[in-house]
Amino acid sequence: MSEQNKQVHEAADGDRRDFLKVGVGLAGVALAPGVLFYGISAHGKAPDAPASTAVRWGMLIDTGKCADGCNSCTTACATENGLSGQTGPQDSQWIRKMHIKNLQTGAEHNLPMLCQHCENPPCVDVCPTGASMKRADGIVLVDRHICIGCRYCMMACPYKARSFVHEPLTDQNPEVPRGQGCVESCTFCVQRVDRDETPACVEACSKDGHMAMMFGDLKDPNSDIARAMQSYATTEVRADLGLNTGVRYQGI
Amino acid sequence: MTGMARLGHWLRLAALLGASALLVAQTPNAAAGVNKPEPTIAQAKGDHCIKDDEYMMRHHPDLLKHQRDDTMHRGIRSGEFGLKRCMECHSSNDNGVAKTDCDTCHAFAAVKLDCWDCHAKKPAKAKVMPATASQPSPMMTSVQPGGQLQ
Repeated sequence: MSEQNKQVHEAADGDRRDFLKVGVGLAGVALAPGVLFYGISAHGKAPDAPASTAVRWGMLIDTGKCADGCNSCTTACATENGLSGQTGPQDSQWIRKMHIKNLQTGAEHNLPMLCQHCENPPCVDVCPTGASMKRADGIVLVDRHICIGCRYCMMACPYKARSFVHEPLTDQNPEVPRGQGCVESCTFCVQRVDRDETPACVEACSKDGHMAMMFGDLKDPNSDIARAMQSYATTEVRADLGLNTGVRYQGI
Repeated sequence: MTGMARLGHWLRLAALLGASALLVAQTPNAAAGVNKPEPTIAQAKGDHCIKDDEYMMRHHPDLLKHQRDDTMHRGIRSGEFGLKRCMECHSSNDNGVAKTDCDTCHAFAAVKLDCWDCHAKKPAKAKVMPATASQPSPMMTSVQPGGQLQ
């Protein structure tokens, strides 16, 4: 693991020790000396509980498994969130399938590009109204009640992850309200995450057998994603910006 | 002259009595609000709302706004005053035309309503809630291997 990744892990694990203390106190019931019964899912959030800083949601994408010609993730995203699925300049795209090639070596990769859910999101920094916000568990969202559609966040985002809704919309998904005049981007399917499900793109990728996307809690050392990130070299896109992204890539 | 004056007197008295009778007849109607204009809450299902009508009439914007901020910013999904819950009882879908009591009442009160620019007018589809004790979270399963060693 590179020095840079070590630093990233330390940054993501800032208050892990405190979390573990509380977690053991709450979830661990001593059945006998040395035997603990963990009755509560490490991720499960009760519907009436607020999002917690003890969790940081993240995604790991293995570009080696992201298949040519497959668009399961983008299709699943459009279906779940009520997007048109079109890729025109004025169509909302919360996740894009990209094909990249290293011109020097000829190495080619596919990867999905989406909101990177930064720890220090530039979109939140520049928002003049406070509509662009980061939830306690690290999910970056737009509060459309407050968004005035100035699109400053779209200019600030280095990943071109945000879209603006130009036309009036009808027949939205009741769980995903969205409308004209607001900026929007990937929400990690926050409505599903709050039900303890994975985002639609991750589910679709796994269902199709590609297993290129993994979603989980970066702060839980026993989660699959944290273990994978401890074991393999992972890349943060535009790491030079120091944003500490929640989405990491393998193989690029 | 005397006869005419007496007739005029009787006529005035009759007119006064007639007007009084009309007033007496109208008063109960006005008290019962027969002609009072009211919006029709046509779509409402069930016997009663989650709070009594007077309270909801005055306070529903506060309830909705409070719930909205809790859900949007803090991720609390259990609140009982969300718009989705309103739609379960107060909307109907006749031949693809969604009607809500919100629209009827706000049109009556001439208060502009822009919720439908983003929110769906239809009730949410019932979702099966996963993550019971016997069904571990998909995030907890090990179906996703870590990938190739770099």
